[in-house]
Amino acid sequence: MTYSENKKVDLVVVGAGLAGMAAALFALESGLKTVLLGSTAGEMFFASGALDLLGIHPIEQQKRWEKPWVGISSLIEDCPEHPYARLGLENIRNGWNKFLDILRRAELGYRGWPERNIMLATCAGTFKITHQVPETMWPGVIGFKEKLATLIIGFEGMKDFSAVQMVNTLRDRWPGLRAQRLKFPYPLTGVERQNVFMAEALTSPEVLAKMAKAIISSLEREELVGVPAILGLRQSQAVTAELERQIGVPVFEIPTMPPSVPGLRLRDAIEQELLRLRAVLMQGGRAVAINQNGRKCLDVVVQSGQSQEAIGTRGIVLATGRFLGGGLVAGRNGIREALLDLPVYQPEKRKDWHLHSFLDPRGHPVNRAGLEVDDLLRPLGPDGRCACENLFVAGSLLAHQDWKRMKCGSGLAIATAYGAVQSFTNHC
Amino acid sequence: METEVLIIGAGVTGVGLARDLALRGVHCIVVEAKDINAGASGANNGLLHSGARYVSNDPVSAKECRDEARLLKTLAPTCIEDTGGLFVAVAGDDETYIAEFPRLCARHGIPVKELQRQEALELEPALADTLIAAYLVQDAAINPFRLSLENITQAEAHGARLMTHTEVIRFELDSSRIRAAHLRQNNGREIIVKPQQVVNATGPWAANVASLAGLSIPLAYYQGTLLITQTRVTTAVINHLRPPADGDIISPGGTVSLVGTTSVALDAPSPCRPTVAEVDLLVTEAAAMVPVLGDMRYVRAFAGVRPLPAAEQTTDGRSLSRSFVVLDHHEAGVSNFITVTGGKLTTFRLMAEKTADLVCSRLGVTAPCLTGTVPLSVTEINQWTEPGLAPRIWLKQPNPKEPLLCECEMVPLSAVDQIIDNLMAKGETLDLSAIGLRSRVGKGSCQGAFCGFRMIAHLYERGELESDQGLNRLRQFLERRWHGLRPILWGPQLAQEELQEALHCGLFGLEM
Repeated sequence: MTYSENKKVDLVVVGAGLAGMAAALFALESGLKTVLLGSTAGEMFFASGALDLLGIHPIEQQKRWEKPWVGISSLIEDCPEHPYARLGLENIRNGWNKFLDILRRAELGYRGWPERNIMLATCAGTFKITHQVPETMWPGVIGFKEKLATLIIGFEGMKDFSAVQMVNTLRDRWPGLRAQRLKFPYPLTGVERQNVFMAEALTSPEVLAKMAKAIISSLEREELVGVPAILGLRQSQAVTAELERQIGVPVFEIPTMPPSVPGLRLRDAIEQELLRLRAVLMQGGRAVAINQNGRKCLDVVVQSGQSQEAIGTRGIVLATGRFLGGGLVAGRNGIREALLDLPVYQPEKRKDWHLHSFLDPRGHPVNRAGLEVDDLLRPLGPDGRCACENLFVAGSLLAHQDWKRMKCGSGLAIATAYGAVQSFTNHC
Repeated sequence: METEVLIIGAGVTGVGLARDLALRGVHCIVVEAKDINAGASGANNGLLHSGARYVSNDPVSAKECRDEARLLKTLAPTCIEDTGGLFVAVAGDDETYIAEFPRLCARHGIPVKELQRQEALELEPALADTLIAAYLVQDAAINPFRLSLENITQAEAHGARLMTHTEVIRFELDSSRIRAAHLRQNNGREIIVKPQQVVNATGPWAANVASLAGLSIPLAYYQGTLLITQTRVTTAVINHLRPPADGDIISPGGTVSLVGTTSVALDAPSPCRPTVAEVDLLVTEAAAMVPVLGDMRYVRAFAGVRPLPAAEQTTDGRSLSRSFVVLDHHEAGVSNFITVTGGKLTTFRLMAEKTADLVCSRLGVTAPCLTGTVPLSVTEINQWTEPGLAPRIWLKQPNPKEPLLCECEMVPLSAVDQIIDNLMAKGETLDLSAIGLRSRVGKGSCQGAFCGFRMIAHLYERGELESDQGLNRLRQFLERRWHGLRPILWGPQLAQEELQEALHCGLFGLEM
């Protein structure tokens, strides 16, 4: 193990999901020397690409908020322990707006109404309540609002997307829909990561032109065309615009099952921005320990392959996620925090982790397990006081929230990342 | 609608009886409230008992198992993996019981061979090094789904008829017999069947069905819970060499192992759901024999109800016989009504034979039972129930053009289409569970999170679903899988659940 004082950085962000990446972005923006640890392949791969702020609260009553910011105010009042309440409305707004600015700068277009939520039609024929969607999904949002006659395109052999299913399921709520199945203009394989494979194929102008031709010949009176979210990898807006030009009507993308191409685009755009801002990305690195001196963290021990090194730092943001991300580890007898064994707020017994119905609107108690923090987002130690002065938590690792049910995942990641970096800047 | 015999219940006993009668040239209709093997026949450890487990406290069952297992190995080899079995004792187990075991086996004619400690560990390296005794017996693994599907397939080929999702709602009785049975299908349609004989083969629901004829049957109900591992841990069946208790048996199920069982007294045959407490007990008990089971990833738990004919309920029912009863309700005043219940998967054929003998004697049919000599059919459509078959076919002849509908179990789309076509041809209900029980779809580590959605999408593409029917089918399917997932959610399987919830609630909002 090596340790060199000159390697000392301002902030080490552990975990490279949306929260970790956002924290690194905010830190670099304020001129901090920042290391981002971990691979981004995990959860972003599964993210829809849409950015949720707050959709439902209280979940027990399934109260839906058309105006998310009003919903957040109500949530802050009702649940003082929710991370949003720790942050306060102003921090959430500042973080959210700043993040959208960064995406704009990264030329990854996002759209939404300033104060209102979006009802985004999914490939299951259901609606996802969200606040900002990729530009390429926006015409679909308008199309549903105005009930435009719309052609939904599916592809033979694309097993996670059925235009027929979407159209049938939505029939009552969006009567002008019609489904058309086409042959994908490039040989498809039956293997995994099909969506990514198709998106890549469509970056070829020839393949795209073939698809445009097939769509033109199936268009009847439709004013809008919906396709699964596979219109190119990075240059999705350009690919979509080109397709629109060739077929002569607006086109939109529909969120799919994982792997999510819009999720990958979001990851790639942020990664480019991080590199531009000179972040140190250690994607193969895994934090294995943190050395402390009393209530102060000194460094993060990073394992890369066979070698270990300690990165000295002034502060740490812990954004390791939950069970899927590896931040929390569940054994038969309890839940532990993986890196520092910090106390985890959790139901007393495993039998109380989950309700008897999977889709019970109250949400499973285990979803609210996680790290409890003070107002600066510093995790609490066994004594109920902040465990380390310069350690902050961001994202889904935080206790007292159920992002899947409240539809607040991206907002939670972004706002707590912003809050964590603010706390570090102001107090370390 | 008329028939010679109305069989109620399409568990292995009911379909076994249908085959027996059909082979004797007797016409029968099998009605089933849910689907094939919906009760205990589909919720057991898939074990073909050599009989050794019952030598100490249930000699009748021991002998029945011994003879039936031998017969099935020759007549239904496609459903059986002849794994052999071990009885093992670890430090702390009762030495008197251990010493007694080979003598008892010998007394009941059950072959047994003592193994040296080293021999046993070489045979099954996963065994605990606290091993103190090991005996080799002739246990085997049996696929209960394939078994029941082949039984009904062969019965149908000889004129029998199966109606799933059809419930008996009442009997029309005259002074001494059942004149007609009123059935209701899940689409609400009512049917009247006029049978000459009625057999109640509803396992733990036998008392409920008998009560429709004004009869009462004393039954005790015991829930047995089992766990499915992600990978197979032993080659042979492993039994704990001690008086029957919880968590005694680790049986292979193709690519996985099954760990069971518990025995918890219930007041009624349903609901029965595996609990966290049972799961923890099973893990602890099984790990004493095979330590790796303490840290194993489990993909699902499931529970079935044992119906044990008994006047009184004991705490765990371990002392009650596992033998079966054929109840002739003639004396109780219903002359054409028989109930068969109790028993074991291993002895299903014998149960069917004894019941069919009684039915035939009443019908005046003299044709002998043929199930002891005629091999069970082997049908291509039923092969997809076999764990590990689809990956083997795929590896032998990968077809990159053919989409896999289920990636965990590598089930190709064409197999699912075959199953759907077959269900449609018989006019059976096309729900996801029906496809799941006839294949391995939904049984891998994703537990239906991905393939459940895919099956719905595929059914829409085929035109089998309309409007938003698919959403409710998907919800039902996910809820059904949930009963088995809930108690085993820790470690990587909890991470898997988190992904499933992110998908079905976070993205699709199915809870809304």
